[in-house]
Amino acid sequence: MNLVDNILYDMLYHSTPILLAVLGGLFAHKANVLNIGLEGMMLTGAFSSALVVMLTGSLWLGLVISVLLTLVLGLVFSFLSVTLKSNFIITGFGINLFAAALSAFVLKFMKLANINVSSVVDVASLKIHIPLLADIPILGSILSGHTAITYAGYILIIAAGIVLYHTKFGVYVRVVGENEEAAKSVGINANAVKYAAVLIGAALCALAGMELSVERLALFTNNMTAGRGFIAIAAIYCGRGEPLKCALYALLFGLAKSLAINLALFAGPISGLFEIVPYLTIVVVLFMVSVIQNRNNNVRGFKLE
Amino acid sequence: MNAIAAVNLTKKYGDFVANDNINLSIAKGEITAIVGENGAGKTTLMNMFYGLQRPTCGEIYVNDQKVNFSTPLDAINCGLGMVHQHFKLVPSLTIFENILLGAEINQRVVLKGRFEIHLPFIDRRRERKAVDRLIHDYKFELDPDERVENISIGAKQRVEILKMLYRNVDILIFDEPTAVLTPQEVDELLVNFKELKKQGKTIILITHKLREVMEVSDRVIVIKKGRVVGSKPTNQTSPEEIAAMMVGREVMLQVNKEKKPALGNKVAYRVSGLSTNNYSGKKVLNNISFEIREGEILGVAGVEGNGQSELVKVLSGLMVSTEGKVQLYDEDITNKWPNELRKSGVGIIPEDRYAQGLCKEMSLSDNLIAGYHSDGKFCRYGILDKKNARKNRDTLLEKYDIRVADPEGAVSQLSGGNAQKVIIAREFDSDPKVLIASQPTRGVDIGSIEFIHNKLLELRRLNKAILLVSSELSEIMGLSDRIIVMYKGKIVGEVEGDKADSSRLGLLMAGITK
Repeated sequence: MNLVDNILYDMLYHSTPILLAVLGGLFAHKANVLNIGLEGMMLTGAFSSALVVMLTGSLWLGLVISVLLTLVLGLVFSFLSVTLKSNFIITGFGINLFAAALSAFVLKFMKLANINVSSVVDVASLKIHIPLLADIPILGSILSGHTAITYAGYILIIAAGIVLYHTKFGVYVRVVGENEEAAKSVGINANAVKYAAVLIGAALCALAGMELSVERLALFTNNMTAGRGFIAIAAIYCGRGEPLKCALYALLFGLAKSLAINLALFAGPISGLFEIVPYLTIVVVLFMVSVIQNRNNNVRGFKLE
Repeated sequence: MNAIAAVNLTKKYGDFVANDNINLSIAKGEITAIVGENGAGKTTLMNMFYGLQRPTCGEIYVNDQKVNFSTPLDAINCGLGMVHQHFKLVPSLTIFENILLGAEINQRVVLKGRFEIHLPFIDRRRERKAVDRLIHDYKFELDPDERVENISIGAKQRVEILKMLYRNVDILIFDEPTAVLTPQEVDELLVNFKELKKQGKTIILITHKLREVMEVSDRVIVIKKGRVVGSKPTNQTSPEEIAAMMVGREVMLQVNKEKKPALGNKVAYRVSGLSTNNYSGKKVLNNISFEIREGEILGVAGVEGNGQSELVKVLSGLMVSTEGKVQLYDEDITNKWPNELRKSGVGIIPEDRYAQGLCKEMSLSDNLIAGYHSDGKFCRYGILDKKNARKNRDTLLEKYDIRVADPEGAVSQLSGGNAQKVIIAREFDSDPKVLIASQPTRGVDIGSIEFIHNKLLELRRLNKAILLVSSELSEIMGLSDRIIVMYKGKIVGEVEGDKADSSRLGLLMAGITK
């Protein structure tokens, strides 16, 4: 594999957790719920799946339990912010702090520096080599050899589009976000729709977390999500909640990460500096998107819709 | 047989009684008008009928059956539908999607003519066909594929009506249906009412516009301060009698304006070639030019959403123009910030008094100096002179007859009329050279309307220039010396105030210039 192949393969690889969080978060976004807790949900997914896999040795059990735990977190978030109408930012931030603190506490309690499940999970064997596709030159080396959750993530882009635009639930999510009163007046339970939107996000964040810890590295370390949940929020904002657009932004941020890692190899002593590339990219992209979205704004000091 | 009956219906919010022992019955197949001032409790009553609010005590009967609705869906299932004053539509969806919202038709697959499988996907083709049939049945003019964000207000209202009819309701409640329509659209709506009545529907019309009441209703019920104060067959009463019942005293339905030619006066305010774009780049103001002379009231008429809001925003410094010029006498005040405008002598009564005119949670004295707080009178070396502000408050409360329970309290305690008077007091007392008044009497009781109109005329006598933007056509016609009509961001016509009649203005408001 040459450098370009590596960069593109890594782009898909690094986009996956962001992409899953994006697909999960965009339902909440469309329903007008700002789920800033994506980061914490992802971390919980990463932590609980690694822990369960270490304790039981079963990948499936890890998957199921981590999804259940993040759903509980999603329920807590919805209950506080939707039912009790607390502030989204503070609630989400609380979720994030709680997730980070809980995982750190459990590690301390178990006297572990990290959770290493490499004795149970063989990372190499989790990579799926798709027959035929793998044989195509260049393309094969980029597209083949990813994990199951990675492939699931890319298939889910289409699924999210279909759900959002061709089913009752999707229409309701958009209606609740656009005009909640309209939804209520025809008897749509707006709060239930918001709960569902948040819970979908929570479940997909669990997948993102599991991909990050168990499937990719067979290792959980403290705060290993490193802001990916927030990157996902940035992608959702830039893509205005449309699945395909948001996914493209997720890929863009994945590309930034992949470039940072691959190019750092040639950077010698300053390679550490490349770590900031993905985050810098987000600031620049957000800035550009905001400038473009506001180019027609003639209103002073008022919030725009 | 009664379509709806209320027995001892009461709704309390804490100590405040919105509906006090209401007893009324609405006959099946008739058009009943429920009239009353803003805040009289009409909307609360309808919200209880429709399941949006629960009564504190009392009973509701629909078709002689006792009901207990907890959501609007219960009401709809019982054959009761409501068309709200603020439409409950989703702009980005099409007309047929809006009509079928909450009652979507899913795709089905029939296998071997026997097994039917329901798919989770929406069947747009069948939905469209159902709506097509409905539009045809009730003789409405609509294209089901149009997106709601692109259609006129009258059309939006028809969509709301169809939304209810699709759900097979036979009692329709209309909350202030004509508030935002052109006179021609009002006529069309009244025709629709008669057609619906012919098809056996019962209609309840909530309004404070007496012309419609007289024209279309069979019975009128008057509500005042949460109580039913009168119920009469429409043909046995008169507009004057209804108005007196609503307010509790005789009222002047017409404004008395002494005519005074302003033609020779100096031009105080001149706008030339003003344009601006909205957020999505659409031109919402297109080359607007007009001038106002001293002692003149210039009325701006138009169906809401044709650029009047943007015009007021640009003129009051809340929005920036892309082209054009605004002049106050010889001073160029284009795109100045609100505080600079006020310093130059522009008084502003904004469209939405709670969003742009007042700060609800702040005290009366603070609100009464807002915008003028850096004036030397109230502020020295950056420190507010609270004592002087309170003195100012006491003078203004007295002078403008603002009724408050607690002068030290916040603005949130005031009724709509008194809150508007706070703005009027503040802006008028600063002795502006020109006043921009947007919807000055929206949501205000009849007593305060009279007061505000008289104040505007008083300012006119003092030789000030006044720009009056209002969606109440009668207000524009009663007060203005000249009227300009806006349509799609442009001025489509100008009419002399004393030659204006509603049918001529109505045509202009619909963009028909002949």
